[in-house]
Amino acid sequence: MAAQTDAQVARLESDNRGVGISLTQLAFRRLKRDRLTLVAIGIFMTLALLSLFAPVISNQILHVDYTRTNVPNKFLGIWEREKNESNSGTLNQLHVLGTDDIGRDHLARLLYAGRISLGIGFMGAILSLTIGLAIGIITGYHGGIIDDIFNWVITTLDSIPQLFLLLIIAAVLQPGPTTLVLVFGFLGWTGTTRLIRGETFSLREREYIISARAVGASSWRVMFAHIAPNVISIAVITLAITIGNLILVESALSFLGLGVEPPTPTWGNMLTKAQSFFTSGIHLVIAPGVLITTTVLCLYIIGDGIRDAFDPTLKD
Amino acid sequence: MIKYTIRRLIQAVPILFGISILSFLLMTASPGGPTAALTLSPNMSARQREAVAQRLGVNDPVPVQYLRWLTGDDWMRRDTDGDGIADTSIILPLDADGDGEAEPPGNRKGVLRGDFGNSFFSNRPVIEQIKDRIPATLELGVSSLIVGLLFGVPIGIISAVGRGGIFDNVSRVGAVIFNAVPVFWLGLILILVFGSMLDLLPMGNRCPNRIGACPPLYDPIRIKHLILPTFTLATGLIAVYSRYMRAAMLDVINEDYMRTAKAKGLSNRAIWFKHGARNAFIPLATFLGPALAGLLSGAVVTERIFAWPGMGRLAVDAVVAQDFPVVMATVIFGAIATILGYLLSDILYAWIDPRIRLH
Repeated sequence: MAAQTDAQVARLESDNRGVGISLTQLAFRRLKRDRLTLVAIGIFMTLALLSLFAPVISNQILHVDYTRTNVPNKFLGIWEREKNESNSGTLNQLHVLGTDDIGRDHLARLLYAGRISLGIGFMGAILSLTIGLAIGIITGYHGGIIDDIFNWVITTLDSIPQLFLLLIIAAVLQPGPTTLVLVFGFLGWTGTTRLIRGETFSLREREYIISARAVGASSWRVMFAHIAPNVISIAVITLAITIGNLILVESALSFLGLGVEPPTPTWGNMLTKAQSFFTSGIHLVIAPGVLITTTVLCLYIIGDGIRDAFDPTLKD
Repeated sequence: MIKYTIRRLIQAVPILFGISILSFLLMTASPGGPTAALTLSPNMSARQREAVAQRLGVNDPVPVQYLRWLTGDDWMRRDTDGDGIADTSIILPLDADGDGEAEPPGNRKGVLRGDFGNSFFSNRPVIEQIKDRIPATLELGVSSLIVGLLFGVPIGIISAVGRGGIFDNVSRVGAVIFNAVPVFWLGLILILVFGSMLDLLPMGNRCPNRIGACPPLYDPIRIKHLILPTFTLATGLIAVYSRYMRAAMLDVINEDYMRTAKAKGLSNRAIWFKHGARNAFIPLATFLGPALAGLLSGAVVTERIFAWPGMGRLAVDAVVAQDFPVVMATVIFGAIATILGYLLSDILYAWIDPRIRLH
């Protein structure tokens, strides 16, 4: 048989293009075509950036200090200027989203609150997923008594309604952002652990694990060099949804007065006194809730989109 | 089935122990100890503080404290000759404060015998407070569950039947949005719109007169009070149930028996609701346990917003006041309810579907 010409080779190669694509590449390709997820990512990134640059925005653009109280100018409406007779020449301070019950700028507080709320959600999710991943791999790989003990711990933790457990902790510790992150991390790992443990269980019997052990790899090496890379995607896929859930829990706790305490603003604790704002400033009730809902909604959509994109059983 | 139920109940015992140990440890770990709220007053002398600590036994080693909380101390320090002073004791010393006189005999019965101690502030037995609050929470929880099923199930069935249609898309988007709305904010908005702006429904409480007995449950005024909190709590359930029901319905919709039913010339409604939905209900039963756990957590927030006199509000108030006997009791009751909910949903699962055998 004659040697194949360059053109033939090129054609053969081009036929195979798309076959040798990795799951991650495929996922990105799918994500790029998923408009809803892209929109959600866009909105979420905007909110995240606005919160991240809260100091710059409030100082340079809005020219307000989010901690400054100004009781005579409380409950200003949307796009209202401060009432101030003394300096008639210059324009009075503008409050884009009005002011709250002690005259603080509402928009600036919302931006700073976003930093805390998003930060707690993000850090808490990372911590709980990391713990869940580690414990899941260890229990799934070793089985036996370690597995039994952790199973008991997981069943116990899952049998307490989550909010009740958080309530005791709030009663005991004086919670702030850092405490909340730690608490979310150390309480929220059970779901991830269940998933990872199951997957590790099935990977343990695969040939490449057996051969790794045959050449003398230690259990730690097998667990974290061979198994971890194959199960980590399970944790990553749930990241967005976990962040969303944590933002909801944090806002509920802070609303109840058991999470982050004022004057540090979070979207939750800005609503603590909401019922007394019904007659004086409805925008104070609406804005934080809309921000929580939008953020969580975006995160859920992103989470769903990523999960679908990484689902090997879905066809294009 | 009875054997399975008994085994599951026995399995629940170590879990409940775990929960009680965990919450007890957390309580003793609190800064200033569990009596901090009682000894906060600056007017209190060191001796008075010591007396409070002594009375509540917080100076004993933690395992002894736990044992006392669990089993009481009436068997630890006993009075055999009836003079009001303890004369025999095990585990606890007879004279704990070292004043040369024996302490009075123990009077706590312990949690295992239904004694959760007295509230730090009202001084009433905690168990009585819990008994007072359970009906209100049950009322709210059951009505939310009913509303959740009543709306969620038909929405799920109709979306599955008209898959890809307008109703399906709207309901799916709605479900995602309502999952993302914080319960407390939804409650606030409902109060704002229906209570404050339209003045249609009461803004809180279980019935108009806070003191004294409420009129019976079927009274229109009670139902009016129930509407907003129920919907606040039920929206999450509606969202989840409609999604579950839709998925389950899509699974059965292409089964052979559905085609047979259609071939027999049955009406669409009979096919969907009698043949399809009944089989689609099966996976729904497994969701009852998690739903109950969610209801309990949701009740904490909802009861707070609507000033609903239930367990959830009791828990929050106790946490804020650091009333630890009450906090412990609400957590234990919440855990028992959750465990029973999971058990109930497993039993229901087997009962609905005879193919499932519980072992």
